[in-house]
Amino acid sequence: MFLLDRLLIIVLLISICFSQGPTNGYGIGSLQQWSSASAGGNSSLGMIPSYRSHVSLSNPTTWSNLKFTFLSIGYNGFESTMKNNSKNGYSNLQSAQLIIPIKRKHALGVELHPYSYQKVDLLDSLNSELIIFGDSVSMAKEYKQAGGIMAFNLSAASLILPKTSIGVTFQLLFGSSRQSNNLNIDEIPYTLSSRLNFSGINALLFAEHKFNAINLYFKSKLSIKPLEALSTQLYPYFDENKNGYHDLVYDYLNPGYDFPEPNDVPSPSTKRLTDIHKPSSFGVGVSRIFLDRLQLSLELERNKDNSSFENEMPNSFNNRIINSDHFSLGLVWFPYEKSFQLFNNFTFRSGFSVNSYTLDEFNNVSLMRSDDKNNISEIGFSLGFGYKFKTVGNQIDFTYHSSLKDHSNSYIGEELFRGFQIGISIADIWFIKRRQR
Amino acid sequence: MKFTSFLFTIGLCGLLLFFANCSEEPIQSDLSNINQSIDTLLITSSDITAFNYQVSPDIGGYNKLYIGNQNGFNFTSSLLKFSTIGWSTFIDSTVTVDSLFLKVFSGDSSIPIDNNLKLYFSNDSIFDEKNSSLADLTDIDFSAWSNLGSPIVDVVIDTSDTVSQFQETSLTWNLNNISQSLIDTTKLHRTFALSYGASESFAELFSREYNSGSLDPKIEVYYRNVVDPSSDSTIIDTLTRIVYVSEDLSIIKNVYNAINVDNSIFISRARGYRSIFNIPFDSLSLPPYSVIRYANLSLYQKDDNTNDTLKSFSVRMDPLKVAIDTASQVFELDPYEYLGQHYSSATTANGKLQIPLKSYFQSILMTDSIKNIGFKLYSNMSNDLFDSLSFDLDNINNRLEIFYVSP
Repeated sequence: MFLLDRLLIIVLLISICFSQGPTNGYGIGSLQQWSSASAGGNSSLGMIPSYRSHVSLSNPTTWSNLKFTFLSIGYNGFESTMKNNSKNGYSNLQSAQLIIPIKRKHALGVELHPYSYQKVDLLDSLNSELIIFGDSVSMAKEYKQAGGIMAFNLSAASLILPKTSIGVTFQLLFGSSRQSNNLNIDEIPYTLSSRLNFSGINALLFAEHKFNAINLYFKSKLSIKPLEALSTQLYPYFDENKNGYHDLVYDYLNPGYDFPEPNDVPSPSTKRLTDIHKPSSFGVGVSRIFLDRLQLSLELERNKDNSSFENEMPNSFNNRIINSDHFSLGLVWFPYEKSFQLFNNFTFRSGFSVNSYTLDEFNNVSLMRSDDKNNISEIGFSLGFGYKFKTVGNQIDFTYHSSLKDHSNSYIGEELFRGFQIGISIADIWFIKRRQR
Repeated sequence: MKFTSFLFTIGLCGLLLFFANCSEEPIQSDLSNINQSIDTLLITSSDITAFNYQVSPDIGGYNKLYIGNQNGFNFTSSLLKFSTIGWSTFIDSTVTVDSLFLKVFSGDSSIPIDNNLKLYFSNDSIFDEKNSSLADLTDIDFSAWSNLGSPIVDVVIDTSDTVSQFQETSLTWNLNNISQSLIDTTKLHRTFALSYGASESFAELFSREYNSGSLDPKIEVYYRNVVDPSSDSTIIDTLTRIVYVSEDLSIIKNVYNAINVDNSIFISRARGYRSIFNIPFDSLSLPPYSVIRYANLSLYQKDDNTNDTLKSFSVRMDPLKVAIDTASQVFELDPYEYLGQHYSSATTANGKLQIPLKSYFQSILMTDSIKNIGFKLYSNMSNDLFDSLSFDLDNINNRLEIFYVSP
């Protein structure tokens, strides 16, 4: 409880920071890469064990190897630095997860975690000045977006054969984001605001097979109900008081009332945008343990977005990620299962990852989506450690990772991405049938 | 446990250090795909049409009272009405009214002492400042009224400084002759009229709207009150009561002229000149979701109006609520009902009036219930009563400039 209290306070303190990175502006935003500090520690794609020997917090087929019920909470923060551009720091809750192993054969789990981050603040690099009825008028575009999509995962897994487990996760997507499309005229923003309320369901299928000393892992994602959004478009206005809200507040520093007045504008128009995210993916992982405690792993995953992605979706860059390929190599030094020596309870992780993302673009002339040449390639590494404590096996994990994203888009260029993740897992004995006295 | 706590603290410190530099900077990017644009719409003088009409001028609410002839305007009389409240004090048997005076004040130091301004009194209602129209009051016959004669004129000079300074001129009438009619609480109305009759004189007095208090038209009552008459030693208080005017107005003799001549637009308070403008603009004039940055109608005065006296003539614009089908141009009451919202006003400068129509036109774009059926221009109450303004509709510089943004 002491640790949870502290974690809660820190989560509240740090939650004042918000996320922002250029990929947040692509399509439905930047998808979450790791949902736990342990998976991040060896750049895992979530299939191979990283939490402890034979256990990954992201793979339900491995949960039956846990002895106790686990409550795990993760928090992460990132810093995005773009060359000759901007530097942004952000942080948020990484995940909150409850895992219930049943008789070392089955497992159930629920998890809440961000699915995509959409926070982005873009400023047009091309400002212009026009002559309007003899007066000089300056003009600058700005796009702001905040919010994102959350995922609530319901997972189950079972050992169907002595060496084979399968698992399934139903991923309920929900959340909202707010967009603010500004055209600053003589520094007075003409603001076109909209809201998107998301809903959708994905399914993730997992399989694990032990093949001699090698463990094989498979993961596939498909969409049961493609992501859709209820788009609410508000009437545009001049934000004279520059407070970001359509209101009737007078500000002496920015004199004037918002125009038109909030009471005069028509009701917001709503529209349901369907088929905006329909993912499919297939991943394979292989791991082998050497020297009882050293695990070497390799993972590959290919993702595809099969959605039509309606053109009416607010999209700052006019791009979205349609394909992505991920490769990761990990090395983990697991702790002893039972040891009272301090050093034997440590987990050390390291990983190396290569990712590539393919974008498509909406052509304003042909009104069609076409492949875009501005793709992204990413190369990164991660380092982490964890410490197991108490007899039930509580664990605290720390991870640092860094990657370099090369955006073909000349305006963005290279992006240095650094992150820090912390996770804590509390174990307890649940669902034990007490003996009658 | 201590080691775990230590680890946790280290981790938290790491997070805090990491986010001590938490920053949020906009990313410089190419936003050319965002199709927001600015544009303009110009409506020139050839598309701007307007016509004049004339109504009975507003006769209440002025901060001055006028009597007589001035600049071609003929004010036949000014009327004053006093409240029925407060007079019951003087009915009491212990009260003796010694004298009553009606006082009015002027900022004009040149009012002659042998003034022939006449005061009349009636116990009839005669007028209502807010609701009476000019037609009801132009032909008042004072023969049935009590004639209270001419005033005593007193020029008040401030002698507190070494340089004497004019303060005001007071005009006082003795009301002793009508004291019973004033004190009688069964009488519901106490109405006075000031008039020069057929004389060519002119007087400008302060009305109750001029300021609050001492310079309002008022009746001063001087009276004695016997305190406790049953006691052996009688005590008499000498007291004064001031009753301020409750309603006042000036009656102007309106002149109806041919007003739609030379394609000119006239605006005048005292003459009741107003105008209706029609500009071709509807909900389809601008792209959907457009927001107007400004929409300014520029009108140029006729050459003979660009004098110094009209540097700050204030004009009010009110959108019309309904269109009326009439060929008439002269009305007792203004038949052009206005919307009551999206109005604006502007002041002339350098022979030009630039009046904003932004709010009105934006509402036409946004709301189906508001149609552009024209708007009226008329004089603001703040203008001098005798000032008038005329615009040249043929001036090619007249224009409506609309600067807007559309998504």
